[in-house]
Amino acid sequence: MPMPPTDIRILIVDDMSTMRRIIRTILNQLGYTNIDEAENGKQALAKLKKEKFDFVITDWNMPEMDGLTLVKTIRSDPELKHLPVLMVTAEAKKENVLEALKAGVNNYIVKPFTPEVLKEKMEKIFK
Amino acid sequence: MKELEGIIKELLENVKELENVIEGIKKPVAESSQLLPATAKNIEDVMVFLEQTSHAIMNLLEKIQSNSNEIKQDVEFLLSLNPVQKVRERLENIKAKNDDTLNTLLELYTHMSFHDLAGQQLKTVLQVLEKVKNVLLDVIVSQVTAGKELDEEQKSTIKGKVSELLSQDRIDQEDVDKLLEEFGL
Repeated sequence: MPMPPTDIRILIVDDMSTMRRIIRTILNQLGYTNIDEAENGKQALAKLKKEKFDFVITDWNMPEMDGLTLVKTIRSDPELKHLPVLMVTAEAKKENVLEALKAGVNNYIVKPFTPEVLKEKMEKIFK
Repeated sequence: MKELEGIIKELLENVKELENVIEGIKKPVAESSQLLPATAKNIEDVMVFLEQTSHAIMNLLEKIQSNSNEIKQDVEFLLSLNPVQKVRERLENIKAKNDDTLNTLLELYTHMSFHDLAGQQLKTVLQVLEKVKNVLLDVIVSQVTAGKELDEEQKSTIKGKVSELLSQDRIDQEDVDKLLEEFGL
């Protein structure tokens, strides 16, 4: 399955700086370098309104605005509703996955994850 | 006269009982004002330490990764020069080992997410501490207001004041005394 083009602009949303760095490094290794970061959903929305992004990778539990609210807000915005969103979270219960899917995420990864899993999910989202 | 002695004795017993109540109130207020925030602070310090150490480890991993990427480029360049068989074999071996190192580094990176997972658990512990503090607050307020003819509004005001005190990093004896004074103790 082909990976999305490496020049796509990606937004990583996570309140933990280490997690943002891990995801960024894995993406770099996969060839993606056009990356920006946000610490929570609120900050992410501000960036999404200001600049064009092709893909969002977001955590669930964050202060100010959590990932689920971010996804719901994205899906209800006419300009952002088609933006692919991948949720990367420690919430591993079945009902969490269902809730996230219902909110409109394109795919779901449970932490900790391997680079292979991230690659596989990205391929599925962009196929 | 005997009746008066009896009244005085009863009064003294009441005073003694009241003193015990005061001690009973002072202790949890003082302890909660010191222990709970101190524990929360310790946990927050652990979280900061974990984050700093995680970044320090990732800095080192990035340094190794950068070196490995340079080695990869150099080996690919040397292989492009069409070296003799023996040299080619050695270079291909170096390339394979180096690729393995790069993959291992990436794997190590993913394990660094332990910080995020541990951090989330610690946040839960902090939330539990906050709840414990509130339960303690309710106990203190009910203990203080027991037997007193206070309406709901007064009780609510007292709870608010106690909460205000407990929300500070710690309260000192003066604050405790002021609080007790407000309850007429």
